[in-house]
Amino acid sequence: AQQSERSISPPASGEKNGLRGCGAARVPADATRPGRPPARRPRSRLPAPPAPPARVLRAQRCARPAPHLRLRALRGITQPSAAARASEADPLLTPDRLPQYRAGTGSRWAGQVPISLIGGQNLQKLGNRKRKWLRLPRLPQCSPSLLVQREEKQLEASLDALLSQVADLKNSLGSFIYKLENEYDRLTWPSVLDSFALLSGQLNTLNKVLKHEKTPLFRNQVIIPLVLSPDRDEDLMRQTEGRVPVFSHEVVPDHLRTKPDPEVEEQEKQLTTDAARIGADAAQKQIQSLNKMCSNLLEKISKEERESESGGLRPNKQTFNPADTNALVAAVAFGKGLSNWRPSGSSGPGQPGQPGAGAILAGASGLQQVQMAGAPGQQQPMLSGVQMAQAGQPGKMPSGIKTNIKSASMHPYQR
Amino acid sequence: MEAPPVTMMPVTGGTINMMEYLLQGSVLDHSLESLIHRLRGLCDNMEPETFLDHEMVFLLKGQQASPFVLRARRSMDRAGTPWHLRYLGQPEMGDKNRHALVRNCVDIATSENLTDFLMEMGFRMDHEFVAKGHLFRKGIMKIMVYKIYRILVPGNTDSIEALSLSYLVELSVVAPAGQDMVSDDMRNFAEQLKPLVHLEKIDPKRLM
Repeated sequence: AQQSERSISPPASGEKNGLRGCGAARVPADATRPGRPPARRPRSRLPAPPAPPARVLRAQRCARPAPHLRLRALRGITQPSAAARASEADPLLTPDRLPQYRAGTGSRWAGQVPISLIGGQNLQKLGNRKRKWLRLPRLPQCSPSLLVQREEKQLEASLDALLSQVADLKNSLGSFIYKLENEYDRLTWPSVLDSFALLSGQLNTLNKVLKHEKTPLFRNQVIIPLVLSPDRDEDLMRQTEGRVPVFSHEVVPDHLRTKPDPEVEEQEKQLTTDAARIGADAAQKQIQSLNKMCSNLLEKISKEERESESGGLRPNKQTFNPADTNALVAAVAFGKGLSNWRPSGSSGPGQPGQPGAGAILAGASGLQQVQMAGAPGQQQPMLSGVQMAQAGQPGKMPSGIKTNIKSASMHPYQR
Repeated sequence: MEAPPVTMMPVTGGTINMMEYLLQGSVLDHSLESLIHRLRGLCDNMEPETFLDHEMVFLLKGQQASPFVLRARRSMDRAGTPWHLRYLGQPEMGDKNRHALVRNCVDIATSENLTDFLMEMGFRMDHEFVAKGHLFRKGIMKIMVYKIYRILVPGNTDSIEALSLSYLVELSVVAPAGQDMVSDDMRNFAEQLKPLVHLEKIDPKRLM
């Protein structure tokens, strides 16, 4: 509110300049250099205004004002009766026709022109036309300065960039919606993803444009509607592709909005002050502790993941036995444990399920009378019964051995 | 085992410099199905191949301290296939950069009177066993999952008994000498069989 106050407050000087009309007046042809195709004339090349007005009254060339634009001041609204009186006026000065007006080749000046469509410098000129039926707040007078001009140019440029980005975005959205509505039956997921990627890229670019250092803060700009009309406006309809039929008090606050709602703004301010209250050290500390917590959490999660992974396998029994691997490798490499006529190594295949087999054999080693029932290779000189037992199937201990072991183990007690 | 004199090596065009890269492991019988399942998924799309081979290992003891070893293999389930004579050199562990055991290797197909020929040359049989299992291929990699049976009565391959309750798993590549890159592929493949089977380069000397 302060901004608009400042901008629109009547200047102390020049009552004659304070009254500005923008009625059904033709923009003087000498306002711009003649002999050029008017439509192409870039606005930035207009002759420097003699007295640049406040920047509140910026041309809003966008047919559909960005929804975030906020109406900050409605003081510029004129009486509908005044507008109605301009019966011969164009229904609306559309943005694409504005350059024509500027160049002096347009038709009559519109009575219903939202002032937002009028460049500040033109207002100046219009003000000099002394059409009084349309009153505008008097604008502060300031001397022309290069700084202001540069700011104007920057604003122009960033508006142009913004417009083109928004147009791109709108086109992509439109084609995507078209696709969804008309080609949904043969639409593939990758192409949907492509569309999403395109949209996200364009949104990113838009954000970049908005955050660019040369982009002025749009919320510092105020757009003032000049005329509100409850009547249906075909031109506006066409411009907005049927979205906005009337330029009335209902839609204007939303469409000319340049700032968030006051409540939102209040909340934002609250957050900013909260953030500012914390000192740099405290903030650093908080960041560090948050980082620490996050990394701890990540560690815990990954640990849990690992454990659940290995835990999922744990129920399964061991799938291999390193001792078996060694035995098998030794068997293929040297025939270890294969030859039934050679003394084999002492390392029998350690099978799970027969623990203590070696111990039993060791205990039996003293028995010379071990019976080798069914043992093959009888023709070979036996070194000992134990070796025979090892050469034999380890899983199938001859029953004779068992009995003998039993008797051997009971031996001390018999004595 | 030393490398034999050159004259004893069968020189047949180019095969002399072939090296076998080898990784070994084992899998318990009850996990065989899972391993086979995984291998069928990982390996080249082919009909599951099984084999039943009888391998005899022959020694020639010369003046050298260590004998010269040749391995003769024949298929027991496929009649009419040639015998397979194989020479394997001294295995080299290599360093950490090489992920597989490497040994010289010469493979020759022979007629079925190979044993007689070897005996005539002065070889004598050291040991024999029966290998029965599955064969998979992935590119130039060969994966063999087989059980080793000891032969109870020498020469009689009908009376056999399993050596252990595990299957031996071998991942091997035969490539020209110096192609150490294949060991990287082998390691990658071995990684995919974990934790079902841990394929490692096992130095047999350690097990002697």
